[in-house]
Amino acid sequence: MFEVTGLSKSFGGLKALENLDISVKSGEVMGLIGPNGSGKTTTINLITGLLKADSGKVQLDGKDLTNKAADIIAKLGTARTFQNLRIFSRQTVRDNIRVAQTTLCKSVFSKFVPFLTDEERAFRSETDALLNEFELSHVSHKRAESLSYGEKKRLEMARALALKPKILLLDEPAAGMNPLELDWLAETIVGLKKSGLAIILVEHHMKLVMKICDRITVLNFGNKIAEGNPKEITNNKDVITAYLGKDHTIA
Amino acid sequence: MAYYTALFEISGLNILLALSVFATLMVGQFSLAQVGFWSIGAFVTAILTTMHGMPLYSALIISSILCGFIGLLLGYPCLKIKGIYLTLATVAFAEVVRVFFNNLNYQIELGDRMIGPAGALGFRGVKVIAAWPEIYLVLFVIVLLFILLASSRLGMSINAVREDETAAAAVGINVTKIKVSMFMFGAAIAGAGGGLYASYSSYVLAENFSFHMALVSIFYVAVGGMYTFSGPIVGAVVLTLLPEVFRFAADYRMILYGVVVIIVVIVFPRGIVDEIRYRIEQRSLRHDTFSDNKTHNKNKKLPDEGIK
Repeated sequence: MFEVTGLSKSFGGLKALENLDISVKSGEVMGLIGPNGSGKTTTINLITGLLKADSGKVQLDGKDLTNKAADIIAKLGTARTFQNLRIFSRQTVRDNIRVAQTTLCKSVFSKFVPFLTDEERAFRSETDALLNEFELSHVSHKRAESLSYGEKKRLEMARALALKPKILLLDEPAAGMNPLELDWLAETIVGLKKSGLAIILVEHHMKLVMKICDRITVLNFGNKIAEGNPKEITNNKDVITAYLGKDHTIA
Repeated sequence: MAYYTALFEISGLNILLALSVFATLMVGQFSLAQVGFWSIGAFVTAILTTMHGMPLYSALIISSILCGFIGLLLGYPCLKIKGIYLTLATVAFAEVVRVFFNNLNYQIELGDRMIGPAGALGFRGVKVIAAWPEIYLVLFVIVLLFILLASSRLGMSINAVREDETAAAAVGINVTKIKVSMFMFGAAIAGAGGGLYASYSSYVLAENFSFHMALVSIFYVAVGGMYTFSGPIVGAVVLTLLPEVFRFAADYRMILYGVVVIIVVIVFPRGIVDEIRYRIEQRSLRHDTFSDNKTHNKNKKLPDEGIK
């Protein structure tokens, strides 16, 4: 169970986020939508420790994550992807995934002399499995910078999953994907959800959000204006106003 | 023969300096403090071996540890500053060290004369107990550490920090710890290198460890390449031997040296080693693409074919 309560953040006089409550169970996809500047990415940055919250609490399975350092939050089971791709472009695809496993090393030897440990064999098969799942096996030896945009996006997701997280935060994974890649993305997210992962999905692509989210939270100017299942959200007056303006009448 | 031996020895010392600069560059920190650590290592080792009769290797280990510790004290606050400001702070540190040793007066009576650092006159008569075997033994150990680092998960984490600190933290890497550790590692290498230098040259003068030496230490890495540890090694050797090649030009040789450095930097913008590596990689990539095209229909399995 992942819970955010009363999370607030302001930048100077601007209230980027006010009193946000979200909770996500394992095996559930929570959509986080809202117009540009509504505080979606701020929320993810607060949860993952890139920004410090002014007040509020973030908890994962009863463990407190609030305002911890980003690497500790990652170790405690929170993985994320970034809106603007952040992969290690000079390293190979395989190493991009391997580097994320380093935090899972139980023995010190795995960090210094990986080729001598049994643990490494398990990591290796996990890497292979992830490469397979994300259809990157054929480029595993290439430098990440030489990949296509779609492949880079998949790599970033694979790297996040290599941390074996309990909750996955996806920041606009569909941006720049073609329709076929979108289908692949939807299938993958549903698959991850079935495996028991909790997912928070920040996305502008409404078709995708409505298709795969169990519940949706809508933000506007840092405030939560609605929460509910996709059907409720589509028909919510406040949401329509936030996206389209007041005088809009539904045809 | 002695001339070539000396070149060999000086190359070894310069490689150590280059590697110490490289260690901090590995996490994207551009430091000119290595000369300061080199200076500390030189004086501490000289004091321990000459004035207190300590064996070379114990003195080197103590110098390394001491420099590593000072690296911790300097590196931790320096994490808060980035880019040119970090470089300036490290220059300031090197200056502080230089002025300190320039004023250090600590002598004891040994035999029939006073020996020890004598302020601006430097430390004369350091026990000469290092030649190429000692220098290259230490170098060997340090290169071994770099090889180990390159093949380990720690090395991958270091590369990750260099490329993108935010992403590195997001995959659970403690960025602060890695940066400070590498700063300490670089300082420790400089400590040992300085100690060897003192025990090799018999005379330590604080003025020698100046801003000029700091610049040259950066040259080694810039000319050789800053992505793998073989870069600084090649850079240090090339830039040590280059002035010797131009001996015939007598007083004008530094002009030729400068010209060649400029040409090398233009021809190998990534540094000699990294540029060659890059070119080879590009060639094999082109080859890959070509052979991919041939087997296109058999092997291709991209999502656009797998799904609907």
